[in-house]
Amino acid sequence: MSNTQSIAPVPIDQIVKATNILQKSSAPKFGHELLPYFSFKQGFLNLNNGSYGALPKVVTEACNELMAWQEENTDFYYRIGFIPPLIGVREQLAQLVGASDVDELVMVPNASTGLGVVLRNFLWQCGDTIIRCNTTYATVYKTIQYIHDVTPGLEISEFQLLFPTTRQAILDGWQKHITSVKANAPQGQKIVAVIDSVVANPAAAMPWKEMVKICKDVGIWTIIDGAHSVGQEDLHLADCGADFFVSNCHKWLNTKRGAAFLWMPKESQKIMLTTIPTSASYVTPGPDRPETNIVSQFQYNGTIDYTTYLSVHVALQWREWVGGEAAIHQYCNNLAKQGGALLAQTMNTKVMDPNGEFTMAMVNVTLPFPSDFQAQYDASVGTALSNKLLARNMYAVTYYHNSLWWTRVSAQIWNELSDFSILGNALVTICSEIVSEHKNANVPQNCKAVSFSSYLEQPLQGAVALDSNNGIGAPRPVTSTKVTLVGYHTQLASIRP
Amino acid sequence: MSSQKFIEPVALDQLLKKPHQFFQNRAAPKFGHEFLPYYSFNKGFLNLNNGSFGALPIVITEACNELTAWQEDNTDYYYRIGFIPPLIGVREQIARFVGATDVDEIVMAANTSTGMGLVLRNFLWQSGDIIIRFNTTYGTVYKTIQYIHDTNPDVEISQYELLFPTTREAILEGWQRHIHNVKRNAPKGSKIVAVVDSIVANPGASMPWKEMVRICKDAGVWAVVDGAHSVGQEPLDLAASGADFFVSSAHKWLNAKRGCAFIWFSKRSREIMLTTIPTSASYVSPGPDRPETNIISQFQYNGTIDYTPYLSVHYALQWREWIGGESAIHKYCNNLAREGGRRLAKIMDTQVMDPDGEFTLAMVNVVLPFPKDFSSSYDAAVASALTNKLLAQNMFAVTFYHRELWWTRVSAQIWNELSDFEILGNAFVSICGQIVIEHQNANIPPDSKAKSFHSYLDHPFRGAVACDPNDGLDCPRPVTATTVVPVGYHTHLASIRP
Repeated sequence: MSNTQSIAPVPIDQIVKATNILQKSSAPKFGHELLPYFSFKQGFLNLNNGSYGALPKVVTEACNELMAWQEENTDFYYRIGFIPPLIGVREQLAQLVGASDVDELVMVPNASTGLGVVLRNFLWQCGDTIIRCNTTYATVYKTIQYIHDVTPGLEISEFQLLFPTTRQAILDGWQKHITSVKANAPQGQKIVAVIDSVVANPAAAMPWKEMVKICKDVGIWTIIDGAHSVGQEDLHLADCGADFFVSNCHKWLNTKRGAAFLWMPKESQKIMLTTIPTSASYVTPGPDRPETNIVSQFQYNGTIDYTTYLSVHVALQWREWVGGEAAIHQYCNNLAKQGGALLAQTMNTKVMDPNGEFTMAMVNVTLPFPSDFQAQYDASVGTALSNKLLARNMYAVTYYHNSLWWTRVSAQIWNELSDFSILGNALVTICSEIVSEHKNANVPQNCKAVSFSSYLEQPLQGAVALDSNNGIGAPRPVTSTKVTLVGYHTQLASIRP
Repeated sequence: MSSQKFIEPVALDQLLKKPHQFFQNRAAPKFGHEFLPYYSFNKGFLNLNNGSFGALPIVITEACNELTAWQEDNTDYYYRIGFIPPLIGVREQIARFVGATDVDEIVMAANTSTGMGLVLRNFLWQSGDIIIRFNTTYGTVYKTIQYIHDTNPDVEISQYELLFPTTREAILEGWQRHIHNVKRNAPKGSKIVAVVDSIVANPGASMPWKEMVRICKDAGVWAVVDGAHSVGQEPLDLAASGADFFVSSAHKWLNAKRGCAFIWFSKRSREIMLTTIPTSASYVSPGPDRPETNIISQFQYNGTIDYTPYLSVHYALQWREWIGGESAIHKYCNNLAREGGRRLAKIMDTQVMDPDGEFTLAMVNVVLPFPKDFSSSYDAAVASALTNKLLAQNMFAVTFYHRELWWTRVSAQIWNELSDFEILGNAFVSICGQIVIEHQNANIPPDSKAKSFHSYLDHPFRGAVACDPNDGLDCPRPVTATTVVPVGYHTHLASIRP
């Protein structure tokens, strides 16, 4: 039974055979020719890469091979096997994002987790201030809320970001805001600012490096929510001046969900006491604690499937094969601009950012609703938009911002201009359906729970009951499996329950 | 372009036809080696360590691949609608399986470490509070408690020493005394939270945890149970247990995909659960506007993950029914653990830790054949050597140091037979003999913390370690280059705290 096994490390390229195909063929052109390389169900029009990314078939197969490897000798995998490939992935990412050392970069399941672990490592005290924006992503927004709720005397200072605007206006406003926060903050207490490199809703590439500098000049910590950055823009983190940077690899870098990285330069590691959950290798702060302890902790802190992290290796091979970072960015950015213009024309509405100073691979366009219809936020409209798009076998994000309904459209390498006109025509129909349905439902103005057809507002995320009377019963959380669900993510944009 | 009026949820059994066909069209083999073709182990790999990471049957692996493919069909549908009913269905199945009174007492977590960490981090710790842990508390939980102590001035840790061999009676008497003392010395109004293992990891020992919980509750002490090894290894009736929280890994003994665990909390315990980690978008600040079930909503989505491991529970339960059902599985594994342990001890000429079997379910602990003087002080390099040499012989069982002896913890699973224990025993005899000789030849000073011989290095923290090319006695250093030969490190954890 026993034969000598090698316990030597195994490089990913030896384990994964699925990528061999990349050697044998050349990539097609950007556009619909790439659709067969992805797994979208027949005819699904995917104009929303931004939320969850998309896994190329080749990477899916590679992941299946990586998971099979995990089952061959699971003890080898968890005690020895995963470590060199994981370090290799961290090195590749460190190179890609311009970190100065592999030990500045660790893996986390997603940006929400990465930002959460940074925010929870600060030792918060009475008099501290956390700066967020109204557009801060919901899980981060609420993490800050929670910290405030459990730390007496901690202040939240919220910067209002309303689009349309200009980079200059944002920087002027930010400078004023920072100056004012600094002036009012108690001496000796820390101020921590959470800044998006790319806001989610609306999609907007921010002048984040300038915003970081404004903070650093007055001694304010900067944590960058870069969820949308890696794979959508070039990064040079060593020069950026930020204290922390987190980005999802499964959004624009083609890895398996969920994989993200946390960049923390050596100075920042001093505040990083623990992973969450705390690793078995945690050492109490003090003279016995090695400087690199936090890096060791991130390597293992509970049994997970490392396949998502290891898939970075394969994703990078895929991206090289399809044309490389520069070519990808160029195609997507151009298509976003052209597509946005075409979409606005089709719907007879406007692009949020016609000058393109905030636009990379995502573009925002107003929806064709009457202006009085949009005057007040109605969550069920968000739900209806989401469901009606899915019912038409397509998707783009919709959200409410600055008293208007918008769509955020992602341009990816499988998209072409015609996709935008199909979306535009669909949205014209969908919006007018919603306006009539809403009218016919006779919903009282001040009712928080509005429902029409199969759409219910629900202040909590989760399963909701289908109101069988289509009446105006108060929404209640239901956990039975006999529910008809409604989409819920579109409720998050710009509105805090 | 299709146009439907409603977006229907999809039941898992409708989504994946293959597992259903698999189970309908064939009868299960007998327990033992006949099961090996249903798993993915390397040819000839002798798996005597289900306990650490579990093992995924091939049919469930295939189901999981289909579930992941479903996620890619229409990812927006999946994350906005699709995953929710199946996830609730899985929670309902687990709730029934473990004796919860309501589906809303069960939420999913990535693994037990995460679940335990979530619970412990939700308590609002104050000066004077006390956390009770054991020397045997699992590494991540032990250190979570350490961290809470380190960052909360005047939160005390009270550690209960658990040393095997012992008896259930002795444990309960000692526990009663310990709780009594802690309670008596605790500041008025402070809270005391005890973390109790249902089954200790190293040694593998099934504890009288329900009695221990009752002792806690009688004294007004919170009882957080680390049940990592419980679900699928023993029947559970959590509503009756009296515990405040119970966390268990479904990927260990329940055949779910890694990483999948559940947290059970009674309705009363739910009140202290403010937030998921990371905090969900649906978090509502405590106060009159916050619904009672807010934490349940939060657990549903709090960052993008692959829900496949959670959904795999659905198929894991079908698999277990097909192979014979819970009682048959438990009976086979428990009997084999006992017989196997005895056989192992005989071959190695050592002893079983728990000859009466009062702590033994599907895992058994046996002393390793080292000379007595060799074992008298802990040497992490020995742990690494044991791990590596077992893997090099295409087999694995956990080894650990406890009470000045080296032990092995062996898991008995439905693919194992008695002969597996014999093979392991013979391997250990030669492995231990090798280690003693190598150790001698390395001429290591007795007081050196960094011991190395051949490719084994002691390293005080987990992570990549450098292979010392000179086989010398340089201080270990953390290295992150890809050209490393890591050494096993989990076996360092048992009973030793760096």
